[in-house]
Amino acid sequence: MTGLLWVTWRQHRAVVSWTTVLVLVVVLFSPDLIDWAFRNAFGAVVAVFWGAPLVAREFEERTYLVAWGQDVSPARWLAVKCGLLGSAAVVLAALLDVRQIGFTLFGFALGVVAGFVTRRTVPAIAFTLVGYVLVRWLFAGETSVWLFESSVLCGVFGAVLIPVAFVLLSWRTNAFRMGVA
Amino acid sequence: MIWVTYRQHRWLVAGTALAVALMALVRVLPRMPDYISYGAFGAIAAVFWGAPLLAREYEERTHVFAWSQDVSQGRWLAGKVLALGAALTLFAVVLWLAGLGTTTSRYPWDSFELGLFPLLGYAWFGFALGLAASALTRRTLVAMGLSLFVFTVTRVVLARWGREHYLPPVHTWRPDPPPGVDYVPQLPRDGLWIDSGYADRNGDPMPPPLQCNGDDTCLKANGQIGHFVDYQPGSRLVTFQLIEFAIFVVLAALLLFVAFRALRRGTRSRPTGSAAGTPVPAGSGSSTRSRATDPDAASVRPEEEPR
Amino acid sequence: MGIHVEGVSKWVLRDCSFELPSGSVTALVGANGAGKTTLLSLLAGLLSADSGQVRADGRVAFVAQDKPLYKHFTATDALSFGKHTNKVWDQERAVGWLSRFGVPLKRASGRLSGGQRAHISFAVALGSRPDVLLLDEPLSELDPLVRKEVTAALLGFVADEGTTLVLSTHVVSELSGVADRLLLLAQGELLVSGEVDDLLGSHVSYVGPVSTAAPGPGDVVLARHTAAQSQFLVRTPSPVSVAEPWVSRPVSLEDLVLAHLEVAE
Repeated sequence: MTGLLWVTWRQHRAVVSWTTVLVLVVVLFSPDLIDWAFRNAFGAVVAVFWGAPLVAREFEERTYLVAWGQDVSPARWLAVKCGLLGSAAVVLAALLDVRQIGFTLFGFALGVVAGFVTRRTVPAIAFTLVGYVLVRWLFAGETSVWLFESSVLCGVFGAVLIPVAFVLLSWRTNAFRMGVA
Repeated sequence: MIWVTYRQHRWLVAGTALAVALMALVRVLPRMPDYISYGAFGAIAAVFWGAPLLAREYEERTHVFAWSQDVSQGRWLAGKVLALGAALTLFAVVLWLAGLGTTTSRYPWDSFELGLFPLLGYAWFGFALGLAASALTRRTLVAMGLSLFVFTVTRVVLARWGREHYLPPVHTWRPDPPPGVDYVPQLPRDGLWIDSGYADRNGDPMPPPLQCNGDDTCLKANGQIGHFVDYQPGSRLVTFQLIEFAIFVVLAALLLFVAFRALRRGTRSRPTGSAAGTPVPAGSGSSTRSRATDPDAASVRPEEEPR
Repeated sequence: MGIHVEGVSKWVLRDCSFELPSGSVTALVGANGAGKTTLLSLLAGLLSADSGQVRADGRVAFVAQDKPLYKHFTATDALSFGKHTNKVWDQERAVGWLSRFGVPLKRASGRLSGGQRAHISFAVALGSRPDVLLLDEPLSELDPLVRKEVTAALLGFVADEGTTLVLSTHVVSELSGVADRLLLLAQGELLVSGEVDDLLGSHVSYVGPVSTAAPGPGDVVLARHTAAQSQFLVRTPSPVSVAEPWVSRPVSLEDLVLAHLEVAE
């Protein structure tokens, strides 16, 4: 567990740090318009820069052969990465706006799934963005009550997409192979 | 060159065509504010057209292949920029045409960014910005993130704080009407509001006297005669669009210059042989054991074996 | 048993069965696209077979053909990665390999040469002290003079630990003296499988005047005819001597592999 913690941090520290800095700057200092824009775009930023490259880059640079070729099973690898990055994204989203939690979870999960489908970073990002904008648009309502509900709905979508990612993983590889003692 | 560009980027062009069609369609549909779809066009140019263009070649080391052909690096990039820039221009025009006559707002300044020139300016600027980020960082994801960030900040800052000051605003003032007579708004419907407030006997803006607390008699006693409004008249809309266009074109030109310079510098600093695929001198790897303690020997090697 | 494969099909692979004892060194040969990488990925547990059974006893390490690595990881990072994702880790052994081949520890692997990246991949694989080590075209990134040294070093580790080693290659000349077992794949089918000594003992080459039939017993693997003479490579359980003017010659591993591959084309 601590092993994959190190791996996750080492691989994603740059994007996690930058996003955190941006969130803190926006929360603490930023003027109204940028603040508004970023609060609303945070889910998309996580979808595009955290979710989509997560496995797409591994496929593109063929490092999935390294990541999934060690004693740690691929399913565990994906579970720890999604767990840690997803939690970090949720914390940052909560700092900005409680409603962003649902959108952020959805965006992240959508990005991960897009990565499995396209296996290439830039197309994964494009698909994620289109999917995210479409869903947000479909659920965009006039009243804040409905907006809150759409956030919850998106959170549920995200929760459904994560198991989809595991199914796609087990298509690609022997994901749940048992480690040998 | 056109064939290479088409073959390499056909999915990008097809995808963008689809996105443009969606954006145009979405204008007719309810609930999608114009600024989301149209504001996104320049960002798409930055993130998906500009940012990956050079960075992907560097990352996948295909630049060695691309630039070892007879076409020089400068011409290779120029060809791509021209071809893709032309495609982007075409898309911007399509988007503009699709938007004609569908503007729902009664206020012309609200559709400032839907004009042909602003759309073109944002697209070219975004493309050049992505390209510069691409050439400087040489990493796709970093270039994408950086260009998205800079694009958003530049656009927001200019739209929010820059645009209204392109020309000095028109200043009007009017004495307050006597009690019982309705106040007629001084801001024309097609005007862009900049500032308004109390005016003194010369029509100049005056700070509200603090002690009055909004009390009319007190205000009049302190020299308040009427109200003033500063605004940009609707007749300046096109002029302002052209000014904004000019700003973004200049920025785009600067960024293109940066991109080409970075490309030239980047290739010059490499050993000239690497681009042509000079074979690794025999034995350079075989005697690595004896070189293990020599840091210089190791530092010569990395560029030698382009894959 | 080190590795046990029975009736496995996946993509190009069709119904492959073989067993490799633990501690054996096996060369997996075949033309490009014959299914070598698929087979190794199956053994590594990276793929699941469509049908059949794959069992590798113990912990498996796999070094893929293009030696993928995280580009922004330094060699030190790569070793930390190995340490954090494996149950067993031998840092000394991994570092030892890198310093032996002069790989800089503090440089991002994206800026290293192909050979240096290959050494980092080997170091991670060896550091995890696997029971089964799978190497896909291990020498392809290395320049010819260092290949022998790397091969010898790998074999040394394997012999010390009793590791089961499978290495694939399409460069047949690299094989002699390396492997004690041979797996020969052509278009997804396992053509030859067995101990090298047995295989060499059961193949013989007859050379003599132009003829349509082989002068001795055995199944003809390959017949070659020139204007002046004919040559037959035959597979037979017990090679016999042939009458003049025919000459029977022992077969080298390279001849044997090339003959089988040529027929399979």
